[in-house]
Amino acid sequence: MKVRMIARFSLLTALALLFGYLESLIPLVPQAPGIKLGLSNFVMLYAIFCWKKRYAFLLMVLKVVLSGLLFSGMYGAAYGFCGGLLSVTGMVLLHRLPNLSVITVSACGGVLHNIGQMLLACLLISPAAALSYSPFLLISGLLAGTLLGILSRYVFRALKHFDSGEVV
Amino acid sequence: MVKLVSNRKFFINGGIFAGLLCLAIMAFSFRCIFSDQVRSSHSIVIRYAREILLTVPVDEDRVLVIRDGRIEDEALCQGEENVLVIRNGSVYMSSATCPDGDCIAQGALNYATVERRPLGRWIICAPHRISVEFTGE
Repeated sequence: MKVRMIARFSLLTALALLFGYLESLIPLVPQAPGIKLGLSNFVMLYAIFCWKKRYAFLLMVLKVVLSGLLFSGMYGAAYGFCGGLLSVTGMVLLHRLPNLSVITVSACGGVLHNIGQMLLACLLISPAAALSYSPFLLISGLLAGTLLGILSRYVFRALKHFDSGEVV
Repeated sequence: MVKLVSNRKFFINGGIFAGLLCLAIMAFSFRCIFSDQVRSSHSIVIRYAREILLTVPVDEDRVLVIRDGRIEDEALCQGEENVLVIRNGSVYMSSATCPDGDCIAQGALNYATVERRPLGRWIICAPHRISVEFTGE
């Protein structure tokens, strides 16, 4: 069982890295930095909803460190870590509450990710610039999170049949 | 009973969405209230890590090289380097040594574009901690 867990873990890390790289190839709005699809958040959502919650943190840290080393550099990794930590913590806490759907949790995760990056930009660059840019980050986080949530809902439903009876 | 539960679920999820949307609208109105008039502005403030490096007038054409948090004379494409161009009342980053080049993609900043740029009166280079602001002072 342990081997199976390691295999699944590495597969998910690779998937998160690949999603992160793919979305860096598609700039949605070139004039607006930080607005992206957030596809790699799907892996964290999968860990929270279909696997063990604490693995979501480990996956996030691995994804951020590896993509920092491979693509985005130290400051990119710092922004990713700030956003990712807030987002995964928020999503894990929200998942504990009853009556919340995948879509809601994912939307909150998207918004929290961008709030985390905004807070770091406040500290490092300029609070006035970060606050004036915040509406775009909040709306894009909400939209991207909602879309990803709708997608994940169907994917998780399909994966339920695949996962059934398996002990991780 | 089933109806009641699904209703409650609908209201809780919808309420959270409404809350997030309200947050975005609040941020947007905040931006509208505090974005002061830039029509009278005539200078550019360059900051590194929240500290002012240099203030220059817009109507004076020049090329500035910012390397490792200092203003340098010539571009070497080494270290953390950005090249800022001021030409015909317009400001833009012409090159940068960061991995993503976000600041170059943010385009030119002048009286005409300042209203419709998402970043408003700023050009930001996040990895190099540089901000360029269009200001009235």
